[in-house]
Amino acid sequence: MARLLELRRACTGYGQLPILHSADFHIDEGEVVALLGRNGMGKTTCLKAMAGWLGLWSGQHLWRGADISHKYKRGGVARYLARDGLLLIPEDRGIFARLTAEENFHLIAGQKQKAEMELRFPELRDKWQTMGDGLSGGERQILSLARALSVHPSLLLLDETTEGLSPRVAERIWQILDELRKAGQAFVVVDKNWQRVATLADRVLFLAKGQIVESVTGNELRAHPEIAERHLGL
Amino acid sequence: MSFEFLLLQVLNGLHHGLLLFLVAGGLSLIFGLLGVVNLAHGSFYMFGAWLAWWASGVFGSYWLALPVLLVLVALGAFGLERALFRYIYDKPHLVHVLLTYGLVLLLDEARSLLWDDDVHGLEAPPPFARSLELGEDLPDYPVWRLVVSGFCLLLALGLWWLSSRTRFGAAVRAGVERREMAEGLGIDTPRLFLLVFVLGATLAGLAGALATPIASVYPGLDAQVLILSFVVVVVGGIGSLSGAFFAALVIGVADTLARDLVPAFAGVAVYLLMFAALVWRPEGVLAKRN
Repeated sequence: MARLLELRRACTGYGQLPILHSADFHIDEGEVVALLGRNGMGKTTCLKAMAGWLGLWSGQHLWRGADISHKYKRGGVARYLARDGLLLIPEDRGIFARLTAEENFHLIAGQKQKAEMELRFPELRDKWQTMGDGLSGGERQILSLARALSVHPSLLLLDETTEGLSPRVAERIWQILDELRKAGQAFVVVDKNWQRVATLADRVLFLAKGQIVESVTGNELRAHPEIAERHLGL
Repeated sequence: MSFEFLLLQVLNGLHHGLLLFLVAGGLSLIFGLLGVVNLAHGSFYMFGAWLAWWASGVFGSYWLALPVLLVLVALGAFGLERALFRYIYDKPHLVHVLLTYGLVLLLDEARSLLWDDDVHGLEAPPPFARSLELGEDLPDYPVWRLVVSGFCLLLALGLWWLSSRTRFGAAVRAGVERREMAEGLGIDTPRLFLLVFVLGATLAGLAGALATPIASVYPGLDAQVLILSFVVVVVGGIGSLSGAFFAALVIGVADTLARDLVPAFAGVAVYLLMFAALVWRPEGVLAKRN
């Protein structure tokens, strides 16, 4: 499988505060990777660094085998990566409050994709004219997924995928992610529900104090729950 | 003062407000999307006005001068954005204020060197160089004023359509709301910034050119329109076109009526409105209450 994304000795943070220290990992095509760790260990920062939202202070950022670290000087790395198929769905789902659901969708997708996504996500059908801030948490997550999937991304990054959703809606999201996995869609998922994550992911990376401290397969994690207990302090 | 005269003044105020909207709408978008406090925005209005007067003389026709001056203002704005503004978007507001204030002084000096420091008038262009007789006790009403008001309304409608009915407008609103997320979807925000900056500046230049046949040109036009425009932006809510439209009409009417009804009070009327708006609706008069 071809390598999609790689971070080598990646360091970054906010202002003067370092969050990610020398993180080393990669994502391959079609692979499902979960990023687990306690709160404040740098999961969101790691996703933002992968998507180019946050520039690296040091280390290398490789996308499709090419080092793109030098692009940070000119800016626009997030835009470059988004146009080349790497999309991040942040914890707040990234739905613009003052745009209708339809406008949110059409920021990157066309009419044809709207019809496709309506078939795939029927719950969006009568929500297109609702303003972003009038959508429920689940609707926002589904709209965000539909928007991202409409451009057939190579890699999706999903932060706190089911956070704040009702169990029924969360189940729907897990079902969608399972379908994506079966369809060969590569994605990185961050979620507190490590048991569900373990059934979904090919690989699980544990993040502690801004570093990848352990990497196991989903099957290994299911067989040895003590690994999660050790890293997540359960 | 008769009721008819009051109505006429309200009409004048609306005309003033519509022109103000052309300046303040652009300023509001530039402030909202780019985060730049652009004190030099009034300079585009000033150049629009002075170029209209000068180019009308050179070409012998206001209608020939108009497209030429719009291209010149747009090119000037394009050059300034590429050479200067794009480097200060992420800098603190103090940097914006210092840089753009310096620009105000430079551009005003350039105007003084290019032309002079006198007051110049310009006839309303044909076929609108006439006035309507409204009655014995009322002053005649210039047709140009009606034409300009109508044209500004059309432009406001066009801007509303651009902002609310096109993908460009949605992308601008997305960028105003959250630039990082817009970039994260692949939207080229620097290009949006450039387009909005040039569009805003050109509209300000157009407003100056449209106002010239009524208001004449003189030094200090820039500061006069800038201050009122900032009041409009604050009252209407930063980055909101509909808010700027509503606020510009209110400020235009209030400013005009205050000058006629209570001249001693005219200087502070619009600031009292701004104060009231800041207390009542600090996020803009049309913004939803949290």
